Amino acid sequence: MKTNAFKGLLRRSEFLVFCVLVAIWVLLSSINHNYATLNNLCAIMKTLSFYGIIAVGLSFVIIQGDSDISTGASAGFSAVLGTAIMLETRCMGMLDTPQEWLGVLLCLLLTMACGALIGLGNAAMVVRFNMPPFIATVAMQYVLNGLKMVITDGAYVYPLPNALLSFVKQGIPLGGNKKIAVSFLILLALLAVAHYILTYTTYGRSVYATGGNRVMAQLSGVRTSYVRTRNYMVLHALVALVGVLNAGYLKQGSPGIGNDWHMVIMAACAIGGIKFSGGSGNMIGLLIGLFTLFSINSAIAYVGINTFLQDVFIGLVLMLIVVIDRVRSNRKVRAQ
Amino acid sequence: MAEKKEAGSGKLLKFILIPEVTSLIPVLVVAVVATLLNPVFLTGGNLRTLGTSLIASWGLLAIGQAFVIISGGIDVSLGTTLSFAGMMFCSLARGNMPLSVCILAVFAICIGMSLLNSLLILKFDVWPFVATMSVQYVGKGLANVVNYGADLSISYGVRDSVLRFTEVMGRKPLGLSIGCITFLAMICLAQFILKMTAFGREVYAVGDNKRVAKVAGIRVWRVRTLCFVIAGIMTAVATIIWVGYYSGCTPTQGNPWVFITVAAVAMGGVSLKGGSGSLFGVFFGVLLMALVYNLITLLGINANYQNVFIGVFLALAVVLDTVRREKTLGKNI
Amino acid sequence: MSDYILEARNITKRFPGVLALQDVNFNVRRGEILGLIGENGAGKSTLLKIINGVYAHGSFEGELLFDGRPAHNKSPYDALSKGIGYVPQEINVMENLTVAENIFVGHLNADEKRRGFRMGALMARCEAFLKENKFSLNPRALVGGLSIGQKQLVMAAKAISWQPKVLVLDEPTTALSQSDVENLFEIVRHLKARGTSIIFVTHKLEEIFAITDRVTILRDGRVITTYEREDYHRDRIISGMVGRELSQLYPERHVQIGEEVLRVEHMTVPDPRVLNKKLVDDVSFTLRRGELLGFAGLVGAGRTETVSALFGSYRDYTADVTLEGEKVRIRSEADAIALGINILTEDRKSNGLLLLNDIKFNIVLSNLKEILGRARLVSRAKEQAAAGEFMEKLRIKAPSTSTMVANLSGGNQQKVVLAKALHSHPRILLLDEPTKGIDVGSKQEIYEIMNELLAEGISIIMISSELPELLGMCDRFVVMRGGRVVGEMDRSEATQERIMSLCFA
Repeated sequence: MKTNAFKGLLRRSEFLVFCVLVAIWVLLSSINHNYATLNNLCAIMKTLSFYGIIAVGLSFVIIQGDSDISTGASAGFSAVLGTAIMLETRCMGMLDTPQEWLGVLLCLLLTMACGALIGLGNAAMVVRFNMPPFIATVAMQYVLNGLKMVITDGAYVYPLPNALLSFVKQGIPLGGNKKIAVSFLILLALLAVAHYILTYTTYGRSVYATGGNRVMAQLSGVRTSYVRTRNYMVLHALVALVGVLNAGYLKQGSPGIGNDWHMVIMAACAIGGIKFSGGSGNMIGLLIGLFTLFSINSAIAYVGINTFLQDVFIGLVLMLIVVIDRVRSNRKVRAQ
Repeated sequence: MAEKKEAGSGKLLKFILIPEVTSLIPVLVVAVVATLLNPVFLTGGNLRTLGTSLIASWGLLAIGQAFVIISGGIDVSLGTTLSFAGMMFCSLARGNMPLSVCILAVFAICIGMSLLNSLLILKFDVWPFVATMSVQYVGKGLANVVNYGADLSISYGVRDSVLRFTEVMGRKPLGLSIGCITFLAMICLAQFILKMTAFGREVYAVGDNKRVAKVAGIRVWRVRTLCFVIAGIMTAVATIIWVGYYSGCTPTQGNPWVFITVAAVAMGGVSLKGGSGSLFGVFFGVLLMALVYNLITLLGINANYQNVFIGVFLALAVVLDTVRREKTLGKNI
Repeated sequence: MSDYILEARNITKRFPGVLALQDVNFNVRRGEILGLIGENGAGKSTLLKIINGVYAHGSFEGELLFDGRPAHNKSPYDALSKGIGYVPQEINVMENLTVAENIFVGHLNADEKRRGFRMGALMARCEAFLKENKFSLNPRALVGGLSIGQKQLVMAAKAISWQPKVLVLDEPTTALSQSDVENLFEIVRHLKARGTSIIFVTHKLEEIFAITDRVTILRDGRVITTYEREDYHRDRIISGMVGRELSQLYPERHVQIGEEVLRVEHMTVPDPRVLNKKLVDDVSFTLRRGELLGFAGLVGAGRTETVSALFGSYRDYTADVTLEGEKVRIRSEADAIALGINILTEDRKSNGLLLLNDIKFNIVLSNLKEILGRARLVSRAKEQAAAGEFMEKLRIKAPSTSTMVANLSGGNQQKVVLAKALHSHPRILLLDEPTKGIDVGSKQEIYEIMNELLAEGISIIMISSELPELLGMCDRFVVMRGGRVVGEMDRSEATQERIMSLCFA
């Protein structure tokens, strides 16, 4: 029945977050004229795309019932590693040639493969040794943070190949000097693919099954160890991609990349309806959540509040979301 | 009646798995390796550097962390709370506030954060790691807000009482820093509380099995909240020690320290699942971290390897703990 | 071709110290609905686990034949693929997937797997399947949003989707509403018409009468008899379930029963998870000094909840409790202990003992005040003395009070939990299944200890699923069913049949 479907829509958390998003934009445009502009929108889109790509990967890991705190450290490590590889190998010998982009691409793929290895390391601890995911990935975070500084000794990797620098500047122009950043386009493509996988493929459904009730999933023939390991590896491959792209955007392989990203990404997932308890969430919600989080971040800057309050804000948002989620799940179920 | 007969090697394994022993072994190993690599290690001068206020601060935080972990939780917000409290202290001091007000503010902030943690975990049933992680982030932001992300020094522009305070904190009676002495005193006090008071027992009981503790009439809420508050108090003490010694604070001062405390506590034989361990072992855990730090500095290795060690120790400690639990619980899991 | 689709011959299953099944012979005809009935501990779940492969071939003696051939089941999956379907009692579904996915995940046909997961095709297949088997479920609904009864139906549908030749339903109607039960019966009849055999395990006699063709009665690990439908008689079946000789296992007791010490009136405990549901519904009972009151009933009747509520474990419950003439309000376990009530909970490993600690730590846990010495610090001497006293009094066999409880046998573990309860000097003791999973020797000792306590003037409420134990020990009985008190009787009036008759609907 149409009315029931409508009521169901109202209750969905994604819809509520969407309302918050709209409210933010309406409110802010009245406070500061520069907020509701295409310029700002493009800036928001570019900023959120880096975190967003990782968030897509992290969503899979959270939906399957695990978590990962090492995303930020992994991004920094991969950024440094990737750019270092590019320069050391002179982009596979193609630096400063017309085929430089090919060299960059190969180095990027190599870095992503290393990222996958990091993911494998996490999976080994969590899946094989049954360590609690939070502690295990924090351990990895520390190791990566240490190693990344060891590689660069605090210095930046500089300069970067032109192919990378110019790729990051690409986008769909929207008149003036505004454009939809290429990283955002990558994010959209990724969201679409992820959505398709989660909703329409056996693999995607098995991710939900693993997160919903792992024992049941195993008994139903789902290879949960394989699924979980694979998602960790994909996550860190994506993280590596973002790390390198971010380095390109910053024009240097800075070890500061990824610092504290993990909180932002987790907050985005939480707002996006990807519950920490596992087994639920979808990409549409994640997109809405990303926009909401970064719109508010942007709003804080535009309103003139101390930008350091952004961190406070993100922490409070995560707190709020998690509390609401627990309260809702502990609510009484209706009897028959 | 069903006592297992143990072979000699089984007994040896059991001995090794005693928490205090497992925590001592890495210390000895590192000490031996360190001396072999650089004989300067074992000199009085070098060993004294272990007693710095830095390590004392780690140690004090570790005491608080131990209480929380033994009672079945975990608190990753201790580090940023320290940063925030420290920045607030300095900010107030520079605002010409008397020493007592500054100290009071530190305690207020630390205990306030602890109560927030308990609220989230006990009332709203949020997972301890996630709850304290969100508080951590809030604290991190607040620490930056205090002075727009810049460091603060209290060597000037403050009242005389504050200057005297920093001077006192810089002293080294008996060759050990004030911080170190405080740490040693606190850890003895904490161990005493855990082993000799009813409250201490309740902490172990709650960490071992909340349900059993509840049925035994123990007020689980109160015990867990108190453990968080103790962590808060320890953080406050650590803040004061550090700020006094360093004569200032940076907004990210304590942030990296919290996982050093978790690693120290875990390597000290305290099970991350709660219910077992002692501060005796935690002392060795802190000592281990300090030795590694010292070793790295001494050998001139890149200081960042310290982080790598923290990660490795953390993972190692979890694995050891799993083995130990399986042995203890046997067929009862 | 054998007459029987499933046949058990001389099956015996042993556990350390316990003989769960003894020489069990029974069979299931093709296309029949066989009822399986028996009280708690009769061996039903053990038998089912053998049938559905949880206890693999080789872990029991005797033979299990499926379709005339030996069924060497190596695992539940093995049994399932042979054609033995099983629907367990506990709800175990994947809440965030749809009904269709819950049913078919694990055996999507090759087509669905290869070409990606076509929701549409799966839904169509599910719809057809559900319709054919008379299920009234919506394939697109998320299982998490269904009622408990519907979730149970999803589990049944899942088992049926494997097209079993024998389907085992383990207490399928416990959580079902009336309309769901009717739906289930329709499904079962349809399956029978198609030639599937059903083993229907239940404790509701009316269901046996309603739907089964034959009924096999289990008691104490043995098959007592099997009745054909035309021989169905309520009394016969009940007496089949209980008719046994009461052995002289229970020590004699001559305790003068005194005045009333406890009166509980109108106790109601709402279900903390489900609205409009009561775990305990308007229950009242009394207890006298030196009396052993037994609570009889099947699992789920509400006995543990009643006793736990009295002990203060439920936050919102209502009751008028009068203790030794005074009205009291018990809001927490600490309140109860202070008032002189203590409990021995059902599952000692998860609820009774701190497994990371030793005997003395556990014993003194519920009365730490008493082991405090100077300056309110824990006195090791007092702790040792208290623990030592109980080790002697309860005959706990262990090298010392520093022995880890994890290393004790079941019987000794239970004694430690009992010691803990006694250390707080209770006047009223609540024992929930005190001898479950314990060897005979320790059981005897615990009975003797109980008698000693009663002689000292302590009153005991005992919950037990072992009728002989209740009848052998208790002075009075309260029988519960569905959260309500359905009968009370004195020792002189009580027989196994009468109690059992009240337990079973």
